[in-house]
Amino acid sequence: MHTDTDQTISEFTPFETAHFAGPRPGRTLSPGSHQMVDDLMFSSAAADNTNEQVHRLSQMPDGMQPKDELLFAPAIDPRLKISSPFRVQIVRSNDGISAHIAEIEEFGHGANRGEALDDLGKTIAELYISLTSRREKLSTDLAGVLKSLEEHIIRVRT
Amino acid sequence: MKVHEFSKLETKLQLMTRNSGDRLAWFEHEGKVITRTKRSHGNKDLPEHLIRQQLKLNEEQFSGLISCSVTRDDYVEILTKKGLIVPSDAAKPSTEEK
Repeated sequence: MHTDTDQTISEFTPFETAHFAGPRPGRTLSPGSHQMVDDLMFSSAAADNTNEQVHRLSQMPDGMQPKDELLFAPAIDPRLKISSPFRVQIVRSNDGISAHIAEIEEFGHGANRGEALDDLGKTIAELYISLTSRREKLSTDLAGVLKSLEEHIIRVRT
Repeated sequence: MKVHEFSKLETKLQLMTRNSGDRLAWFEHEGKVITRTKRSHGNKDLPEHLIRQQLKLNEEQFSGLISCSVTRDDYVEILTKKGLIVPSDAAKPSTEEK
């Protein structure tokens, strides 16, 4: 039987966006309910005053530390386009908020989530451009990072 | 971690940066770019564990780098042991038999 909680991420297109203002139309959330992938929230990160296209994937059950994970595909640079979103984890620590992409070991940092994501976007762009311009000089590890970046980013202008 | 601690890392490891507002800092060895991390912007505290991860160090090594017990040469040795730095042909011990 298909229930609300059976719904998976794959049912949503990667770039589907909308300003999040609550549950998806036609859905209601019972108080204290476990909000899993079902309650996919769409956001242009308006709450953080940034223009990222951010998709929140899941929230953990009430009373637990939220697993704040996003798909991240903002406009990071006029020369670049993110063709496949990055999976970003929001990490809160005493040092502030970090938005971390484990796949490429990169992060953005700030006082709040918007700042961290904004920083991350700029860092990704700079990383991509720097690595491509030094392609011949990269260690095996950084060559691997560039390979991962190229799976997500395409250059649209020189 | 504090900004001044990051500056210490930058100086000790001779990280490469440009004066164009770069966010990134690069560790280069013998003409190869080996690791990178992020420079600080402003005076905010920085996420130590993420910077440590980018520099491929464990907690003890990272603390040593911030204090004085781990030098740049030690860092090169650490990265070499991890296979991130491949010794150049000139530096490799000869395997030829006389």
